Amino acid sequence: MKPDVIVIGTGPGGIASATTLAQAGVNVRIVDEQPYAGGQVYRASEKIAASRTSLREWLGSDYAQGLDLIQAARREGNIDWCFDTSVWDISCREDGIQLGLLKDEKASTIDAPHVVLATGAMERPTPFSGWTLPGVMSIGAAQTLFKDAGLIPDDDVVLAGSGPLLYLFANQLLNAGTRPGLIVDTAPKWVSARHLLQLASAARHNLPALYKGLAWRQRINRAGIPHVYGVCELHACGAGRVESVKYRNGGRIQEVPASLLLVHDGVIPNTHLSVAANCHHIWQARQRYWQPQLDVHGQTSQPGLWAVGDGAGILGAEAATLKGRILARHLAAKLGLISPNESQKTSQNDQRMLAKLIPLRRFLDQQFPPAAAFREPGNDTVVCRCEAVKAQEIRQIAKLGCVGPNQARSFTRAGMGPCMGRQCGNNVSQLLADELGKSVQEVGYYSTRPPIKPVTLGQLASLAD
Amino acid sequence: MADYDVAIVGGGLLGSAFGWGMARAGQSCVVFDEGDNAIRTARGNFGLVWVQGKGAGMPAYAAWSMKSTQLWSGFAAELQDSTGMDLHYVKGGYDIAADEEEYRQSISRLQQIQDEMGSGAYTYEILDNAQLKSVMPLIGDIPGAIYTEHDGHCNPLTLLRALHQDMQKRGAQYRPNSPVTEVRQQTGGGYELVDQAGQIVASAARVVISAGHGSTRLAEPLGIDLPIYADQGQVLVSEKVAPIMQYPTTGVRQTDNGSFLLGVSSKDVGLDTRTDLTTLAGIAKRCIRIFPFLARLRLQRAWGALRVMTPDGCPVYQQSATYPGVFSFACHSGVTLAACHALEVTKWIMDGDIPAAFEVFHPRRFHV
Amino acid sequence: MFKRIGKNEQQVTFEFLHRTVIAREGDTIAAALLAAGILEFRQAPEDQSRRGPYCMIGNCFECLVQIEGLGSRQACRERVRNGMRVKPHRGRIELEEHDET
Repeated sequence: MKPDVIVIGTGPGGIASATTLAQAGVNVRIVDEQPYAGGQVYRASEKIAASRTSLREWLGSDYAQGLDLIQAARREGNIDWCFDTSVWDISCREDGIQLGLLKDEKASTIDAPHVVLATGAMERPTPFSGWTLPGVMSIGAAQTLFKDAGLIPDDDVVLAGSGPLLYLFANQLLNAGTRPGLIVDTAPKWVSARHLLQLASAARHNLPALYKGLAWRQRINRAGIPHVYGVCELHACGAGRVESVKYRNGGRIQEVPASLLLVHDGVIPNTHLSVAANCHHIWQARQRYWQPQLDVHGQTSQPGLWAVGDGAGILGAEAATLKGRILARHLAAKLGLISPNESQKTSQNDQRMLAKLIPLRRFLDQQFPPAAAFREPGNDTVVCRCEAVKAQEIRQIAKLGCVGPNQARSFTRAGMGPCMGRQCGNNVSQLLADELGKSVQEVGYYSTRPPIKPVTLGQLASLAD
Repeated sequence: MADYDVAIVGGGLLGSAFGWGMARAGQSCVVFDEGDNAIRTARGNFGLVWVQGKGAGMPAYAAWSMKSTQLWSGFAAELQDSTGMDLHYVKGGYDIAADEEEYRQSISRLQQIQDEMGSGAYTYEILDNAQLKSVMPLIGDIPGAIYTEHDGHCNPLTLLRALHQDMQKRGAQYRPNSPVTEVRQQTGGGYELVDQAGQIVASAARVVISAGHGSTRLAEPLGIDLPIYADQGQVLVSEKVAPIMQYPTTGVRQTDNGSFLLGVSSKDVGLDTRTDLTTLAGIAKRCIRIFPFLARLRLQRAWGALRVMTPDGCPVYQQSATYPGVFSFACHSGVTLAACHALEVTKWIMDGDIPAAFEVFHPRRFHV
Repeated sequence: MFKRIGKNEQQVTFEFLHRTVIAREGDTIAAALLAAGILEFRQAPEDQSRRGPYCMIGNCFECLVQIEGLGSRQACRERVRNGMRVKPHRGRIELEEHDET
């Protein structure tokens, strides 16, 4: 059956939207490139639940919540699940939104009057010297391996960066019996005085979450894991793979051996699809990321295209769930399945809960800003991994009169490789902005073209038959 | 006194070639360009330096394209010497046909051009499937191709970057993010250029309007008729493959970095650069018929770009009759003609006169 | 490097550059290779530098490998199948490799 709404992504935002839409009687199709629901945060929940291992306990209570959410969705008859399906094209037209899909090596197209982007977050791809070496991975990547394959790093792993995920992951490793060799923290040890106000506000609304964070840190401390704070420089070193990690805190450079360096510099919205759909985006200066510009209900600048969850701005899994439900009720009302009044009334409680989450997020944003030292990569640091373009080249072409990322892309090839600018986009815009003395908003972002995900020329050509 | 000898409006392949040629000739010049999101034909270019099939019904255009390909090697060498950038110019190219209809059309069009060119005609070679297969073993079941040694390809993005870099090195001023909205005559000779805010941004003895789709509104008040429209072409790029195809063909070429470029469609959709799956799938299908191995390659990117098209597909070169010293140039062969633009047309600008032999490129030809 | 936790589940074997890799059913190719101690998946086409998985969620395209003759496949997304043949990319794709079946 032709869906009324297509939801892209089965993380908390997508699952919650789909469930609430289905409950209201809407025909929903939900698409995910993974073989199971959960997105990144609840990745492999069903698989782990069925596997009779201790993994679920080790991952913690927040992760465990995901299973309930997924199981509730699984009970709905109106949801058509499309796993292992990638979305490689999106075009917004007057008669609806068309998606190019790929499943089992077959390309197809589908269209619907409404599409909900629930594309989630990705880790900020912060460039630093040596970050392309095999053995340098993101903490999220290691967490994915943990959830998906029961793989955990050996004891000599070095964790670097900042943010709650750094502490959570260290705790998950301790649960699983691994003791990280070192934590290199770019955040200061203590909350600075100017963030105390935000801390107080966060504490008033969400004390348990703050306790949780504090407990994670204490456990790291008790386990005797060396934890260096206020680090302002990081290098991965080695020939052909990472062998050691160098860092600077204060005046001194230290070097430690490591077979694995896992880094984390916060998360940013995964906006590749909304950019490809030509939605307007705004630069969030505090956390330094782009987010799609939305109306009060979550509609992007393209009619019929909606965005929810971390892909629309980082607020976390709990907020994504609440926002997903609220958006779904609005959409159900728009489709005439419930009254606008009912939509508003039933969403009141979710709105209240959502409001409580904001102060915590504001505090986290301030306490864990993108590491300033990383924001200015050295001239020799690779910015575009795919095309091996160094920071220096971007700075040079800015001096040549290049005023934005699109000209930079055609002059240097940064952003032209397989990742299509997902890793270098924000960094190139930031570098140009710094060099030109402008804001990132003024400088702009790559215009993004299909394909969004890999598709072969033969698969594309099959659409002409 | 004017600030510059020449002011050029437009920083694309035409404007940059003029700017470079002017600076090279020792003229003081300034090039005005738009911002990062301008409709920039130069960024969507396929990269052919091409003669075949051009100028049916207008032998002067065929000869002009020939002349440019003759100048191209020297032009590229000079740019490369000065910038250290390799433009990857390779000579030799095939007009390849996916089916009998295309094959017949190509051959008869080329025959017509040759007849019209008379003594200036160039050599070419018609290859059937077996002959083509001996030089291009990867072709599929297609009729054949026409080869000339005059055709070729280059990296158009490097060309644009090299021109930008080298014209500045030679003293030209490049002003990005500076759309010019009006050109007006100064009292006492020369012209002044005005921006959106009404500010005079420069004055110059001569002005060249080569701003692609932005030219019309600037040129009109100066008594210049510019019959151009946007012709949208979509292009596909594959992942990078180790070099297997040295020479370009009309629909498929392997670039210096290994990607295959697949083209090229033609659509009149106004100023819309978006791609659509019907067009992209059609291009892919045609190119796979020519080169079946392409089917297994991953699509890396696709884009739409807007050619600056004239009613007969030939360039428009003109000087305003009422405002002498104001020139307007437009064409879709910015790469092929870059050498002529940089080395020949710049002389016309300095002389203040378009030679009589090039009168045929005046748009009054559309009004007979 | 990485180590496995949990019980020994159903095993799958596949080939990576003439080496037999033992994986667990449901593993992504990237997870299976990392579990086998293989960090380097390919060499970048531009500078031949060695690369391996970075993000594991389909964004960085660093884990590209060749699977059954088809190039540029994301190892973090594709799941292992018994007997499959996986090869690293050495810079640009070699077309002959592509046509191998």
